[in-house]
Amino acid sequence: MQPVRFAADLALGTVALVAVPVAAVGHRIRVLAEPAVSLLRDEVTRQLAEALDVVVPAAVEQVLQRLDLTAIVEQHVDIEEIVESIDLAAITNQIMEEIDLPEIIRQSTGSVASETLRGVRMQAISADDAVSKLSERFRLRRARQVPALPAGPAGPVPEPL
Amino acid sequence: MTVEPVSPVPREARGYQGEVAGLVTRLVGSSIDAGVVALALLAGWVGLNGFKFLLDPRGFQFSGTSLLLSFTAACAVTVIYLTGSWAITGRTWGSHVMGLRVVDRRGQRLRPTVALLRGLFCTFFPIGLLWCGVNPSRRSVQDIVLRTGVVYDWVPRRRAVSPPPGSPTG
Repeated sequence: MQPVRFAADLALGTVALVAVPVAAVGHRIRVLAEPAVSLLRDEVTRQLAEALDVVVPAAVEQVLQRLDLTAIVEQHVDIEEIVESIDLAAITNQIMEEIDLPEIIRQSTGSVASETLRGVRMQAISADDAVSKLSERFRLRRARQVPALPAGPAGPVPEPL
Repeated sequence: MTVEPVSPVPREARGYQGEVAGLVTRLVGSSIDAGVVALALLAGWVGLNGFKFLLDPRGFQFSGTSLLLSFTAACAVTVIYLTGSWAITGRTWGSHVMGLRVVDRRGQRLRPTVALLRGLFCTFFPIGLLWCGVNPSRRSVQDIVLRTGVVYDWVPRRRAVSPPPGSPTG
């Protein structure tokens, strides 16, 4: 048994002698190569994403062109059931509340609907503008007629006593 | 999601909304107000005499036609009418017809005290309104003194109105 045991110990010692440095070197190589591998992985991922961005929409477009989605939906989806599940009255009320439809109708028919009244108001606004322009023209004419006063005290200079 | 409010104001008038009103529109509105006051006085006079007639049909005689009493009543009704209208709704009936609104320097409805002062001012110095015809910012004497303004506002209901251009903000 002695030679056999010796041979086994020798073999294990040899393996250990070789394996331990190899594992250490391998670990060191892996540590050194990690950044480069990470960069490579990122680059591959980016290029793959770019390629998919081009390929997938085109492929889906081609698939959709060959499918009649409306027919598929009609065949496989119970639209009536979906419509029944929606509370249309609540949605309508919400929309009317949002746009305040009753108030719009009241305002539209209450004060502004009368074409005559609208005409009178618009003519009055035009007359307002005309009066303002006339007044402005008059002010400008007066400003031109009044000569610019010389700098200094406005009144006669008192005689020295 | 915010829904854009639909404006009931006609397209051609939208650009004027919030602008200071001019002389002609204000004169027309004031004339309508004068008519309203005259009708109120007439109704009051008829009502008073009708009441007297009911109390004493046989000895009934028309009364309340003296100049001083009529003038006093007209002034009182005018002040009450203008003050109440400006303080409550921001517009008299004449302003409502012509699409005008009286606002303070912040574009808000007048406070009751300011409305009362403006009512007194307009009743006893109505000629001050004519100053808005020559004033560059279309402001009457009353507007200048009380820092108020009259703007075009065709929307019947009260809403936020921007301060009238040319009005002092301080």
